[in-house]
Amino acid sequence: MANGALAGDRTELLLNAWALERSGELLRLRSLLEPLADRELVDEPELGLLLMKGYVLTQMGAEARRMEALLAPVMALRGNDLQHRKYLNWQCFLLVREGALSEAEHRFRELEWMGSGSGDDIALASALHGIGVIADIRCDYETSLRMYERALSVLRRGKSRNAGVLYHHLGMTFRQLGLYPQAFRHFEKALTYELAEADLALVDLERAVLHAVAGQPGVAAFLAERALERQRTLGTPAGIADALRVLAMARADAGHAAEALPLLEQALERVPREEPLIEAEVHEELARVHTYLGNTLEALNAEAAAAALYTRMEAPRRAERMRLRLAVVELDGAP
Amino acid sequence: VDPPGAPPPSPRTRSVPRGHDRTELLLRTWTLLRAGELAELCTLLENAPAELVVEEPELGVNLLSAYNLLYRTDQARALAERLGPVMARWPNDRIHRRFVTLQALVLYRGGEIGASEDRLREAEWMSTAAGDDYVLAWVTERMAVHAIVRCEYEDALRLHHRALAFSQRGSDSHQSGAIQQNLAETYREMGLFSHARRYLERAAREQLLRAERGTQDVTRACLHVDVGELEVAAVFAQRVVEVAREIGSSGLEAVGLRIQGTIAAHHGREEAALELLGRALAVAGQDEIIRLTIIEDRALVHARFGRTVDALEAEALAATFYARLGAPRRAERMRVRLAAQAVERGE
Repeated sequence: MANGALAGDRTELLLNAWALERSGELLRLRSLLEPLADRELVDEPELGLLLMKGYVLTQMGAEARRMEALLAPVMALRGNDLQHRKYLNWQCFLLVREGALSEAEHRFRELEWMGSGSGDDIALASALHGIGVIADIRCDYETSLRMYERALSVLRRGKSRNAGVLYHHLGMTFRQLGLYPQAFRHFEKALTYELAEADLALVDLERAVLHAVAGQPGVAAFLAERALERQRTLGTPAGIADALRVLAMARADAGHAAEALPLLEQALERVPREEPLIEAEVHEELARVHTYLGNTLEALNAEAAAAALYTRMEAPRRAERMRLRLAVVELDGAP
Repeated sequence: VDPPGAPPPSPRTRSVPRGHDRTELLLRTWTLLRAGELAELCTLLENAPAELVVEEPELGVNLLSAYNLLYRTDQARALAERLGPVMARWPNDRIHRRFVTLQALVLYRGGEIGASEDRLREAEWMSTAAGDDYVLAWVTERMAVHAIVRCEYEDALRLHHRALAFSQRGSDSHQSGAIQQNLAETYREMGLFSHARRYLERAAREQLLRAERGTQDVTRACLHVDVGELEVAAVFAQRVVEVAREIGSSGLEAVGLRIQGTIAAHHGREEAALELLGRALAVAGQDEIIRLTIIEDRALVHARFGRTVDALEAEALAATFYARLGAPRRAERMRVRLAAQAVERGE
C-alpha cells in the first residue's frame, strides 16, 4: 500500500473502511488505514477523514491532530461540501478534547450553519450535540438540554446511530442534575443503538459514575472495570486514564480510599497532555481521595491543579462544582 | 426553630414573680412546648386575655415558637408585630434573642429575606456576645436554610455543620435532630441520597417533635420520588397530610398536598396533579416559601403535559419570588428543570 493504491484498490479500500466505520470497529479501521502514505490520504480525503475519525473516537489526540493538519490544505479549498463538514466536525471534537471550548463552540456554530444550509441533518445534529457537550462541561445544563433536544428532533427525521451517543450524553446531563431515574433510562436507551466499542466503553464508564453517586459503589466498580478492559483493548491512554479514575471513585465511595490512590496515580501517568478535561477530572478525584484520607496538603495541591485546568478551559463552574464535592467529603466523609 | 427542647425558662422570668397564675401558665406552656403539644399550647394562650402574651413576653415568645413550628405564618406574623416593641425593654436577654431569631423566621416565610437576614445578624451578634450557643445554633441553622433556598449548597453545608457544632456543645438532642433533618434535605436537593439517608436516620434517633417528624416524612417522600419509588413516596406523603391535619398545621398540609400532586403528575394524572397543587396553594396561606415551591411544581406539571404557555406563566410568577429572594441560582435550576421536562416530553 505504501507505494500508492490503484483506483480499483482505492474503491475497495473505501468500501472496507466504510463497512468498519459503520460497524464501529474503529481499531480495525485504524489498522486498515494507518499503513497508507500521507499522499494517499490527501489524494482521497475520505480515507484521511475516516482515519481522523478513528483517532478522535479512540481518543488518540496527537494522531488525530496530525491528520487534521495533513488534511487542512485540501479542506481549505472546499466550500460547504460533505467532506468539509465531516472534517469540521472532527476538528471540533478535537478542540473539545483539548479544552479549547470557546474555539470549539465557535466552530460548532459554523458547522450548525453549514449543516442547516445544506440540509445535512447529520452535520446539523452533530453540531447541536457538540454545543450541548460544551455547555455540559461548563455546567450550563439549561443550554445543553436545549441543544440535545434540538439535536434529537433533527435526528428523528431519520434513524441515525448518532442518536445513541446523544442519549448517552443526555444520561450524563440528567445524572449531573440529580435526576437519576431519567439518567438510567437514557443510558439504557443509548444501549439500544449499535454503538462502537469506544462508545460502549464510555457508556459503561458514565453508568459507573451514576451508580457511584446513587450509592451503589459495587455496581459502579464492576462497570468501571468492564470499561477499563474495553479501553485496554482499544489501547487508548486517555480512555484508560478515565476508566482508572472512575474505578478509583467507586473504590473510595465503597470506603477503600487507600486502594483508590494508586489507581489515580496510574491514571495521571497515562493521561495525555492534550486531554486537559480528563487530566483535570483525575486531579479532582485525587483531591477528593486525599481529603478522604486526611492528606490536606496533597488534597490542596490536586485541587489547585484541577482548578487551573478548568480555568484554562474557561469552565469556572466546574471548579465551583469541585469545591462543593470536596466540601462534602471534608464535612461528611464517604457516603 | 426554637422549639421546646432545651431552653429553660429564663432566670429573669423565674425571679420576677407576677402572680401565681402567670407562673403556672408559663410552666404549663414550657411543658406543652417540650411535649410537642403545640395546638394545645396555642389554644391555651389564644383563650387567655389578649394582653397577657405582651405583658409576659416569654409567653408570647413560646406562642410564637409554636406558631412557627405549625407553619401558622399568618398568626406568627401578627404576633411578632405585637411583641416587637415590648422586646426592646430587654436588650440581649435570652427572650430577646429567641424572639429575634423567631422573628427572622417569620420574615423569611413572608418572603422578606433581606429583613430576615438583618435580624439573624443581630441575633448572631447578641448570642455571640452572651455566649449563648443554643440560640447561636438556631441562628446559624436559619442562615443555612436561607442558603438552601438560594441553592447555594456549599454555604448551606458549612453552616449546617457549624450549627451542629454549636448545638452539640449544649447536648440538646432536639436541636441536633432538627439540624440533621435539614442536612438530610440539603443532601437530597444535591442528589447525594446516601448522605441524605444517613442524616435522616441520625435525626430519627433524636428527640424530634411530632411536627418535625412530619417534616422528616416530607424529606422521605421527596427522596422516594427522586429515585422513582412512587408507591412508597405516596405512603409518606399521605402520612404528612394526616399528621398536618392532626396537629393543625396548614403549612405542613400544603407541603404534603404538593408532594401528592407531584406524584400524581409522575403517574400521568394531570388533572389530579393540578387539583392537588391548587389545594396546596389554598392552604399555604402567607407562607411565601411554600407558595414558591408549589408554583414551581405547577410549572413543571404544565411542562410535563405540554402546556407550554401555562408553564411559562408559572415560571414567570416564580421569577418574581426569585428576585425577592435574591436567588438567581434557584431561577437557573428552575429553567434547567423545565428544559429537562421538555427533553423528556420530546421522547
